Amino acid sequence: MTEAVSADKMRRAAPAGQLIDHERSFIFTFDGKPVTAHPGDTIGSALARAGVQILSRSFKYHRPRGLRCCAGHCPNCLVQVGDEPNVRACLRAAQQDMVVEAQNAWPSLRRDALSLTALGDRFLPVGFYYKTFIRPRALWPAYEWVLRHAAGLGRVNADTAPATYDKQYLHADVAVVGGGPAGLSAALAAAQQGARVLLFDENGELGGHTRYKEIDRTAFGRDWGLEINDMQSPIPNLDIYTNTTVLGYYPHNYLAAVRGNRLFKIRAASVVVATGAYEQPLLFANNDLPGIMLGSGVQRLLHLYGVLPGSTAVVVTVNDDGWQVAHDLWRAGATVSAVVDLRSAAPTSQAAAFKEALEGAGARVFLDSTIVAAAGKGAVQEAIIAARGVRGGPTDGGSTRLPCDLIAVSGGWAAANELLYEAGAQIAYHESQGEFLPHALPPGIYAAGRVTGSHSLQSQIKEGREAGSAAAAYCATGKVQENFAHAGERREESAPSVEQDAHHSAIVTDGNGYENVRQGKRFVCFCEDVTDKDVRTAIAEGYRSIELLKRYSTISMGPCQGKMCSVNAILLCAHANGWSVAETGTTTARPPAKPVSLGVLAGQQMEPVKVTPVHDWHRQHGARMMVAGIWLRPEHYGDPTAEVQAVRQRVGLIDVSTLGKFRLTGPDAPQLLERLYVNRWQKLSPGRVRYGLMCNDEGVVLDDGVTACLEPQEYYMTTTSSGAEAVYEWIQWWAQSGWGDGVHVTPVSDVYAAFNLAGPQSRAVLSRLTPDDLSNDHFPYMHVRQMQIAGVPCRVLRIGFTGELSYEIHCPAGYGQFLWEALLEAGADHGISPFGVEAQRILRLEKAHIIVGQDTDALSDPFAAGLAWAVKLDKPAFLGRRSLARVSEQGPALRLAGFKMENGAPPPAEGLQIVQPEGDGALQIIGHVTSSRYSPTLQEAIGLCWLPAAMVVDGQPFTIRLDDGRLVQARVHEGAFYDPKGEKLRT
Amino acid sequence: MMAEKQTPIYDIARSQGAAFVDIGGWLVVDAFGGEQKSIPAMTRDVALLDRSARAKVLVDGAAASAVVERAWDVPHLAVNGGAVHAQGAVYRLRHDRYFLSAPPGLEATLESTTARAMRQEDGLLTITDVTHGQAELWLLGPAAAELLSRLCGLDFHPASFPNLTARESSVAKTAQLVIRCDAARQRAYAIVGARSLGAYLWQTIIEAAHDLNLLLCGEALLLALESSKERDAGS
Ligand code: FES
Ligand code: FES
Repeated sequence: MTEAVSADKMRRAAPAGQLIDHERSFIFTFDGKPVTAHPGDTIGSALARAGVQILSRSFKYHRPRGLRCCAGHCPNCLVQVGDEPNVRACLRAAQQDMVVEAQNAWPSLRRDALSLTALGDRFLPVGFYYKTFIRPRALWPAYEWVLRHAAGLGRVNADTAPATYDKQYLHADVAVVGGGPAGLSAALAAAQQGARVLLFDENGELGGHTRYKEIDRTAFGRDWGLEINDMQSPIPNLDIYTNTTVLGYYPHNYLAAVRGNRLFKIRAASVVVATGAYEQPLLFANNDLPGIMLGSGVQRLLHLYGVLPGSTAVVVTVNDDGWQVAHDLWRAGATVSAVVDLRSAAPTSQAAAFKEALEGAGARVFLDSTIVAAAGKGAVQEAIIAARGVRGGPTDGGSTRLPCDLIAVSGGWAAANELLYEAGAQIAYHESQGEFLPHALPPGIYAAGRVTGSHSLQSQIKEGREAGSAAAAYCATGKVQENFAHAGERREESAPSVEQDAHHSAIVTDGNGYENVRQGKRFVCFCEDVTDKDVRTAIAEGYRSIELLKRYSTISMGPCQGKMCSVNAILLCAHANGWSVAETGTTTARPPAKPVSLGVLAGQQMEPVKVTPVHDWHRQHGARMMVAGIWLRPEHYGDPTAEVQAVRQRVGLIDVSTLGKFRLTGPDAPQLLERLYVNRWQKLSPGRVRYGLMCNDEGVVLDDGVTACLEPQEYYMTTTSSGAEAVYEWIQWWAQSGWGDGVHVTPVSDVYAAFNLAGPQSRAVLSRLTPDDLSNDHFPYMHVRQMQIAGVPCRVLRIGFTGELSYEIHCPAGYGQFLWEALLEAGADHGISPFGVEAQRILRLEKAHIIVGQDTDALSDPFAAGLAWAVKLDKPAFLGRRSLARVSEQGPALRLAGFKMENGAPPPAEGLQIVQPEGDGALQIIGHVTSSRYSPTLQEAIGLCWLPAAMVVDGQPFTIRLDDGRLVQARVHEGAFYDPKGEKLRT
Repeated sequence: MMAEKQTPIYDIARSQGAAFVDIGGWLVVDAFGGEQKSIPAMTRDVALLDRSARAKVLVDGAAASAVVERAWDVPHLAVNGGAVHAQGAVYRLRHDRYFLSAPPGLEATLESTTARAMRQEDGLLTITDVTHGQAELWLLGPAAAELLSRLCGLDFHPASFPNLTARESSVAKTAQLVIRCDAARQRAYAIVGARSLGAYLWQTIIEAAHDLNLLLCGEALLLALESSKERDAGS
């Protein structure tokens, strides 16, 4: 008779857990109910101690799920903590007042309405999303609504305050991943050889499986590092990062790891992978019920947290590990009603002693038997076992029902070899071990311990030591030691082990034909709710390759990334296809090996922004700042129209410190200028300034600016603000390609603050601050002078973008704010006004000056842009000459032209299309607007646009199509709109 | 009105409570207040200083090495190496580029002394005073390397980055020159880069130190630390 075990009978005196401080306790809530926890508890261990068995609902069928691995290797314990979804309850430390909630369940975890989907599983076969919800098409919005609400795990609160994330770079000679016996031994051996070693372990303490397994510590000596957790003083050369998960391996031994909200980027000369192995589940009906745990999960709860997860246990095993689990349970006070060993022979050595003890305590032992099914409502209540038949499945001889509240499954091990895959190791299936193990490792990569298939402590320690020494030697010599070139070759091939055979058979049996067994789902992939039936169906539909099977069924694509299902899926796939496991192969492992939040990947928010020396003054004086490339610049100080009028009528001051600035020195500087610019430079004498137009080798306008000759071998070049860095790279490219002899180019953009004092009264203002003669005769247009202004040494260029008398004043940046304020003070009587980028754009547009990058694009040549006057095709080689010679012969198809709006229309938005109505009423696009503003000076809307060259005739009408489809008229205007003869700036 | 020079951190430092002193015509942070009590913390954790006023000169040219060695009587340096001299320090950034550093106000001395060492056969040599164009932020203290490693991918282990090493790298996504320049027997790093990015870098460093005990400090504390170290050494 089946005897159900009630939950309240399950809890009993817990064994001491090594991480738990039983003296102290605190409360957190789970789904609103208080839960008592102790310091050292995880959410999962505290819930288990409190008797909570259901922690989550499964992804597709919403089946109840409970703790399984207690190691972060399965999807069963995902919960919501505050605003953070998908937290693994078995890993996250419990904290006082923490608010923990179940996710993927409605209205409650115990009674989840969506679990009814399991009733309709006929309609949700494998790959259903490729087959269903397609017709009728009109219903797709409704399907989509339902699916979107049903899919996904957890809840994201968009209003959550951003957390603090950051990154850190680490460097090492040897990086060891995994702090179990092999990893510890490797780290110590490498450090003892003088290598700088970083050791990473995802747990809070080192020791790997020795933390939760009873081992004879004295048998292995002290030098492999088991005592490391107790060590007070640091080990020379060894830095240990616990609670740190290595997420991925990238080329050249670049590792990414995460600890809390910090991402580590690690460079190491060599890497030792000692990542251990994942214990595997077995396939049987209802193998996902809460109360069914991995043997190692049970041991973690017992030894680390002092929680006995059940009172009556059945242990199912394919190896000796299960016997130790059963023994641990019995010693902790549980009744072990049976141990079911899939192997036919009785265990030997230490496991034999466990068997004897367990039998003495009344446990029944079933050899050559298997578990057929689990049964129970909401949690496991009985295990149904049967003797194995010829194919590994049960015989027809009937089954035995064993009441229990815990089934511990020791289903064998799968190497945690993701990092080795990513590192390019050759991984092969070892028949003798029944595991995918490294066969050949790339230079500088080493593996040790369970990840190589070594399951005895002695061999793990030995391998670790050897790998650590070899990795240190590789760093020192750059050479791979012979015996470590091919890790797998040290392994002897042999016939499949009995463990392997047992595990295999438990997976591939089809589960039918048992007496007295009500069938249930046999889950291969717990994350995605994929059953063995689904796998067989997919293969029958033609998805035979393991890669196709993965994509079609989504097996191994869930939160655990295949840790619980990859191997079993491969075994099933091999069996269903009639292939060997080696022929079946594996899927590709890609980073991240463990889930990671996007915040961690993003890290600290860093958006470099440049500010001028006068930035603070601008902000304090009401400037509206705008982003201009990487710079923050004042757009205006409240009224750009007034700023334009101040410049036109009185005087204005603009901060142009953002300009690119370069110092060119050496006898060949003029020659370099000749080659970089399309206009002439050889005859620029000291004290003169010239406009320069720079094209790329295709003749496309790249940048423009002015260059001043300061001395015979010294030039001062300015570029556009946004083009400064690209121009410097461009110059360096050519200088280093053979044009750089006899000339040095030094970027000095930040060395100088620069201000443009513009307007008819600018001379009067400036003369208040300098004793120098500023008259037109002594300091004419397009000249440069060194002078003291307000006591500050300045370089003054008589140039301007605004069309007014202007002085561009460059001073050492540290004086920037002082000089700015001095100029404003000197101009106060003249009604000086600071002006921003917006006013400057209007002022330059009134002069029809172009802005490279706004009025030109990646196809604009100087002929088309109205700058033909600058191109001197008769000078020797310069960048763009060949292309420009061709363009000058053919003439441009399009031209940049000025325009005025007709009938008082407002300025059209920049980017609008210029169209030409065709006979059939359609509109042909013939150009576009690049700049447009209302001119306060002209009191009309003006702009620049690209038009067919033939249309660029003064007064030519054309049509602009507005955003709303209306058509407005404009007329071509040739030349500058304001002061077309340029008399004002030469005054 | 006397012309005064401001560093790129001047406005931020003022808003963070700094008091300033005039050094070499620059307004330099003297103290942020209450720092004298912080000497123990500074020797345990990490301090951030604005030392942008320091003199900075670039020497470019094929003969830069010979000229700098003659001018400053320093040994021949490998690329990324540095040496100190009576006025400051020199660092070799490339085979043909040196970076000269000295206390505030000495830029003219750096320029003129270097220029005087030039000989006819040295060919083209360019000496550029970049003092005004570069911010120079210092991290000082035992946690300086850790803080810097949150912003920069270089390996700051003493074996890879000993004192007087200078390397150009990305720091907080900007191009910077990182110099190990231990002071007051503390590990120290100077981060030298575009002046216009100085304010951004200052704030970014403060944010990156969110879980470290970062002390903003000025020249006074550094002096105090140096003199306390001298006293220690003497006693
Ligand atoms: S029980 Fe938490 S991940 Fe498996
Ligand atoms: S069990 Fe996690 S992906 Fe399959």
